[in-house]
Amino acid sequence: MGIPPSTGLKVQRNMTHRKFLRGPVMVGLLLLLVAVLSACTNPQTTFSPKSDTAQSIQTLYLLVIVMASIVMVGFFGVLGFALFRFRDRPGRIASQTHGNTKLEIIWTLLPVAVLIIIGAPALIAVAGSAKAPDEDALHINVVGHQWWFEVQYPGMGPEDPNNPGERLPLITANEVHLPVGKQIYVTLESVDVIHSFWIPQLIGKTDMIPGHPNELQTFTPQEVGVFYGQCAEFCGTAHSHMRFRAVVESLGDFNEWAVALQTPPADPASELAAAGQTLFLAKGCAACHTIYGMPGAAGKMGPNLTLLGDRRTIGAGIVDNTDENLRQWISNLQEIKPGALHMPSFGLLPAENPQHMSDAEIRAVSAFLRGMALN
Amino acid sequence: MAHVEPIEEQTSTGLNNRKLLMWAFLGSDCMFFGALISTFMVYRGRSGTSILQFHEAHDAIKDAIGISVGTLSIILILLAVVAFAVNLIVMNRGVVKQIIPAVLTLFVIVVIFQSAWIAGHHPEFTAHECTEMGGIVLPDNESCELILAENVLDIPLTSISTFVLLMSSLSMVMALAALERNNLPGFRTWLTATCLLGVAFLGFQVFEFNAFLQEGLTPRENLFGSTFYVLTGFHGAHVTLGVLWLSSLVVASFKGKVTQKSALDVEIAGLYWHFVDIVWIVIFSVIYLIGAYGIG
Amino acid sequence: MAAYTGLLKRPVSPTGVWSWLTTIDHKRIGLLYGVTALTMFFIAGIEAVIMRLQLSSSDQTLVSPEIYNQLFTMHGTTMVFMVIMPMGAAFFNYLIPLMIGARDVAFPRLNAFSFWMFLFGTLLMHASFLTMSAPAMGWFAYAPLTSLEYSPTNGVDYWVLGLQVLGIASMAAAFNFVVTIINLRAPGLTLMRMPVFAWMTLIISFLLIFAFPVITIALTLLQFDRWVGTNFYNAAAGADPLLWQHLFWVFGHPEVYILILPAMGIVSDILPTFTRKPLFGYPAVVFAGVAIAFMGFGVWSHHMFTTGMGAWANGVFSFATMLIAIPTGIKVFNWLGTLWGGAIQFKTPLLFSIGFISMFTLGGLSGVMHAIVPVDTQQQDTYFIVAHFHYVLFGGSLFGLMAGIYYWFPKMTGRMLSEGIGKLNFWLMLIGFNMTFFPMHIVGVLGMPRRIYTYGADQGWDSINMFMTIGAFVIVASFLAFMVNVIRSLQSGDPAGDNPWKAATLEWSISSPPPHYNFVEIPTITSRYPLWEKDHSVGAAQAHGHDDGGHAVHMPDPSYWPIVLSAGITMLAGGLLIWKWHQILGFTVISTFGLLALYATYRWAFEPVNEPNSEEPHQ
Repeated sequence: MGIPPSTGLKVQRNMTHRKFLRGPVMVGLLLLLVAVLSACTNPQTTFSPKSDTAQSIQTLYLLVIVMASIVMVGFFGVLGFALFRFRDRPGRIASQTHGNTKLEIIWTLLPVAVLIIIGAPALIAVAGSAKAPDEDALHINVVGHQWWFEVQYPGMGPEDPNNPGERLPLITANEVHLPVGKQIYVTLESVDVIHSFWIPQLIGKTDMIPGHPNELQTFTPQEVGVFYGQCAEFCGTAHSHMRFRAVVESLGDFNEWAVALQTPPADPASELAAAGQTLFLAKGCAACHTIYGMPGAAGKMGPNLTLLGDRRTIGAGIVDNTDENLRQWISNLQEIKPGALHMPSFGLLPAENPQHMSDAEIRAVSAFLRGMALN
Repeated sequence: MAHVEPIEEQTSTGLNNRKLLMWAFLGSDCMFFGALISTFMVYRGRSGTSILQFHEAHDAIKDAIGISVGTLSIILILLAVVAFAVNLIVMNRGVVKQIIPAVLTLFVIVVIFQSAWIAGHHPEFTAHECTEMGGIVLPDNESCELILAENVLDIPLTSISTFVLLMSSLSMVMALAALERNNLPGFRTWLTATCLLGVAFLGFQVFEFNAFLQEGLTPRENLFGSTFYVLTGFHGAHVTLGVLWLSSLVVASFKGKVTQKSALDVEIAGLYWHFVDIVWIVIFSVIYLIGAYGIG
Repeated sequence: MAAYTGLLKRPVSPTGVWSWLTTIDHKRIGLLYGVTALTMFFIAGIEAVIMRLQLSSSDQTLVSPEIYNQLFTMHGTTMVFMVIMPMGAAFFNYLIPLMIGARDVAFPRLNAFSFWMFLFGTLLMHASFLTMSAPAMGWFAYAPLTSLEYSPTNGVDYWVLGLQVLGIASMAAAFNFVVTIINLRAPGLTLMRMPVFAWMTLIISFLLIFAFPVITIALTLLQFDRWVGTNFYNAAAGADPLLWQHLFWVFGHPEVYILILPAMGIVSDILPTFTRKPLFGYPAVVFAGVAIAFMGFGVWSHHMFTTGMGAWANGVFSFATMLIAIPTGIKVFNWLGTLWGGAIQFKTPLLFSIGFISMFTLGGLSGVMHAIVPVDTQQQDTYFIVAHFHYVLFGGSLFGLMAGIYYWFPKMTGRMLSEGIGKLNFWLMLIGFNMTFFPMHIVGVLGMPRRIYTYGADQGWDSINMFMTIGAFVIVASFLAFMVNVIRSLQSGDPAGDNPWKAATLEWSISSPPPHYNFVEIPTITSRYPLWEKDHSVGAAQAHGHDDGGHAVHMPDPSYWPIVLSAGITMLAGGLLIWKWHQILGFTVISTFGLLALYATYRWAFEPVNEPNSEEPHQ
C-alpha cells in the first residue's frame, strides 16, 4: 500500500487529547458531585435501599457500575493516548496494519470475562427472584386504575355478608402500609391500561397489566419510614400524577391502623364536619367513594376514603394532605391533576346544578374527610 | 410484469435482479404470515362464546388417526407436486407419459382426503369437556354453549379447497414449462387454468366466510373469530393479487407481449404463486388440522 | 403505450421542479432524503426543546399534559422513523452505487417510490397536528392504552397509517439495496472488498426485510381492533396486551440495530481516510455486524423485563443481551486499533467519528447495565433508559451521520464545508449533548420516571433538570452553527475537487458532484482501498479531459409513476381515516385511490426504460 506520507498538513495545535476531554470530564465531575450529594437524601432515589431485596439489587448495581467505570476509564485512556501519540505531524507515517489475530482474540475473550463477572451474579439473582413467598408473608394486592392505586389486603377486611366466616379484603388507596421486618408479597393487576408499581427504596418495579396478573418479587422492609412510589409505565394523560406513598411502620402500628380502618368512624367532632358528612352523601360523593362503616358510602369507582385524615397525601400521592389542598381538589381538581377522570369539579359546576358546592360546603366536606383520623 | 425490452444485465452473482427481488420480498412475506400465524397460535383456546353443537364422547384413537392422516396427506401432496415439477422440468418428460402416474397419485390423494374427512367429520367432545372449557351444557344434552368456536370449521370442504389451490400450483408449473418451450397456446391454457383454480379457491373461502358469519362467528365475536378472519383474509388477499397478476399476464400474452423471452417474468410470478400456496398449507395445518382435532 | 401525450408525456428533461418530482437518479433521491430528514430533525428538535422547557423546573404549566404527551410521542416517532432512518437512507442512496461501481441502484423507479412514500407518510402523520390530535401514547404505543376506549382521538390512527406507509417505503428500499449490493458490484469487487458502509447497508436491508413485517402485523391488528372491533388486544375478551409488546419489540429491537449500523459503517470508512491506514480487522468488523444483526432478533424481550414474563424468559433474554455486547465491543476495539499507529488528522469528520465512538461506548455500557434484570427493575421506565438510548442514538447514530455529512458534503456539492465552523459545530454539539443527557443517568437513579410532563418540588430533581434544559440550548446553538456552515458553503465554499480527503474508495475517483451516469467506465477492482493502490488505474478514465460526457452511456429516463403510486397509496391510507368518520365517503376515497394505485402499478410495469424521444441528458 503506497499511501504518501502526510506532508505539510497543518497540525491543529490545540487539538490535543487533553483539550478534547477537558470539557466532558469537567461536566461529568460536577454532575457526579451533585449526584453523590443528592443520592442519599432524595426521596425517590434507587440508591438508598431500605429492604433486603432493594439492598441486593443495589449490590449488583454497584458491581455493574464499577465494572462499567473500569471499562470506561480504560477506553478513554487508550483513546486519549492514541489521539495524542498518533496525531499527524510532518514526517509521520501511519503503520499499515490490517489487523492482529492474537489481539483480536484477546479482546473478544476479555469482554466475555467481564460479562461472566457481572452475568453470573445477575442470572443467579434472576433465578432467585422467582422464589415463592414465605408462609407468613403479608399478601397485598394492588390494582391499577387511571390514575390511582387501589391497595387491597386480602382477608383482613370486614366480614363477607355472602360468605360468613370469610373476610373481604381491606381496601385503601394511594398509601400502602407495610409492617417493618415482615416479608411482603404483592400481586398486581389493572382494570384499564398498563401501569407499573414502583417504590425505589424498597423494591424494583413490575407492571400491572389488565388480564395478566403479576407478582412482585418478595421483599422485607427493614426501616421504618415513609417512602415514595410512582407509576412507572405511561398510562395516559395524568400518568405524571399517579404516585403513592409506602408507609413502613412497626407491626403494632400496622395492626392498629388496619383495625382503625374498618372501625366505623367516630361521630364528626365539629358541627362543620357533621355538615360535611351530610353533604358527602347529598352531593353524590358516596356514589363513587367508599367509607367503611358509613352506610350509603359504598361506591367503587373512586378511591376508598376511609381514614383520609391520616393519609400523608391526596390526589394519588401528588400534594400534601392539607385543608387548603383538599378544598382545592374538591372545588377544581383539574388544577391539581389535569386530565383526571370521572370526578366533577364541584366548585365549578353551575349554581343550578344540584351537585354544585359553595366554598362553605366544600369547607365542611373537607373538615369531615380530614376529621377521620387515627387519633 | 413484462418489460418491453428483455435486456438481461450482467450481475455479480449471475442471479437475475428481478428474481432476487422476488425472493427478498417473499422473505418478508414469510415474516408477515409468521407473525399472523403466531398470533393465531398464541390465542388458541382463549376465545369467548358461541353456541355450537356437541355430540357424544370423542375417540382418542380417531383423533390420532385424524392428525396423522392429515399430516401424511399434506406431505404426500407436496411430494406429488414436486415429483410432477421435477419430471416436467428437469427430466423433460411429456405430460402424456405421466398420465398413469398422475392418475395414481391423484387417486391416492383423494383417498387420503376421504379418510381425513371421515376422521374429522364429527369433532366431538364430552359434557365434562364442555364445562371444563367454561361452557354450559344445554338441557337438550346435545348442545354446549361453548367457549371454543373451532367447531365451525368444515374440514372436508377446506380439504377440497386446499386441493384446488395445490393443483393451481401444478398448473402454474405447467404454464411456465410450456412458455419455456415456446408453446404459447399451452401457456395460455395452463395459466388460465391457474387463474380459474385460484378463483375457485377464493370462491370456497367466500362460501366458508359466509357460512361462519351465519353461524354467528364474526371477527368481533371472540378471539378465534378475530384471528381466523384476519389470517385467512390476508391470505385470500394475497391470492387475489396473484390472480390479478396472472390474469394480466394472460391478457398481455394475447396482445403478444409475453413470449418465450419473458419466461423469467412468468417464473417470478410463479414464485409468488407457489409461496402463497405453501403459506396456505401451513395455515390449513395450524387452523384446521391442529385446531379441529385438538381441543383448546 | 401510446398514452404519452401532452401533460401525461413522460418527463425527460433534467432540470426544473418536475425533474425533481420524477427523478429516478439515486443521487438526487439521496439529496431529497437528506433535506427532508434534516427538516424533520428540526421539527423533532423543537418538540424536544419545548419538552425540556416544560421540565426545567417542578410544577410548570408551559404545556398541558395532553400536549406534552403528543410532543414526546411525535419526538420519538419522528426521530426514529423520519430522521435517523431517512438520513441513513440519504447516504445509502447517494453512495452505494458509487461505492460499488454501479450507475444506479437495481430498481431506480422503486427507489424513487421509496422516497415519495417516506415523504407522504411523514406528511400524513404530521397532518394529525392540524386537527390537534397528534398521537399521544408514546412511540411504542403499548396496548391497551391505544384502544379506542383509552385513546378516543384519531391520534393513534394517524400514527398507525403513517407508519404503515413509512413501512412500505423502508421495505421497498430494503429489497432494492439487497439486490443492488448483491448483484450490481463492479468486476473484482468481492463482498469482502466492499466499503464497510456498503456491508452495513446490506445487513440492515436484511434486518428491515425480516423485522418490518412484524410491526406491520402489530399495527394491522391494532387497526382491526380500533375500526372493526376485533379483540386482538382486548383483555376482556381473553387477549393478552403483551402480544402487542412482543410483536412490537420483535420489530423494535432489530430496528435499533438498523438505526446504528449505518453510522458504524460510515465511521468505519471515515477512520481509514483520516488515520491514513486501513481499517483494523476489516473481516472482524464485518462479521461482528452480521453477528449483531442475527443476535438482534433474539433479544427483544429485554424491553419487557418488568412485565412478568417469568424467571426463565428473563434469564434467557438477559443472557442473550449480554452476549450481544461482545460483537459490539469487537467493533469498538477495531476502531481504536485503526486509530492506533495512524497519522491522525483532526478534520471535522474525524472529530465526529471520535465523538461517535466515545458516546456510543458510554451508551453501550449503560445498555449492558439494563441487561442485568434486577438492576433493570430499578432503571426501566426512568430517565436512565432515556439517557442510554440518547447516548446510542444521538451520541451514536447522529454523530456518525454528522461525520458522514461533513465527509461526503464535498462529494455531493463540490464544495468544502468550513473547518473552523465545523469544529465549533462539533464542540458545541459534544458539550451540549453531554450537558443534556449525562445528567439523565443521575436523575434516573434518583427515581425520575420517563414520560412525565411535570414533577413535584419535593422530588428533588429541579436543579438537574434546569441544567439539562440549558444543555438543550447548547445543542440548538450547535445546529445553528451547522446551518450557517452549510449555507455559507453552498454559496461560497472552496471547490472540493475529486478527492479532497485523499480517500481510498471508489466514490472519490469521480468528479464532485458526480456526473449523472456516475462512471464513464465501470472500473475493475483489485483491493479494498482502490485509490490507495500504487499506480491504480481507477479514475484514469474519469480524469477530466477524457470525460466525453458519457455519450455512450444510456441512463433510464425519469418517471412519474413512483410519485403517482405513492400519492395513491397514501391517499388510500387517508381514506381509511375518512372511513372511520364517514363510511360512504371513506369507501369512495379508498376505492378511487385503490384503483388509481392498481392502474399506476400496471402502467409502471409496462413502462419502457427509455422513451423513444428521450433527450438522454448529458451532465
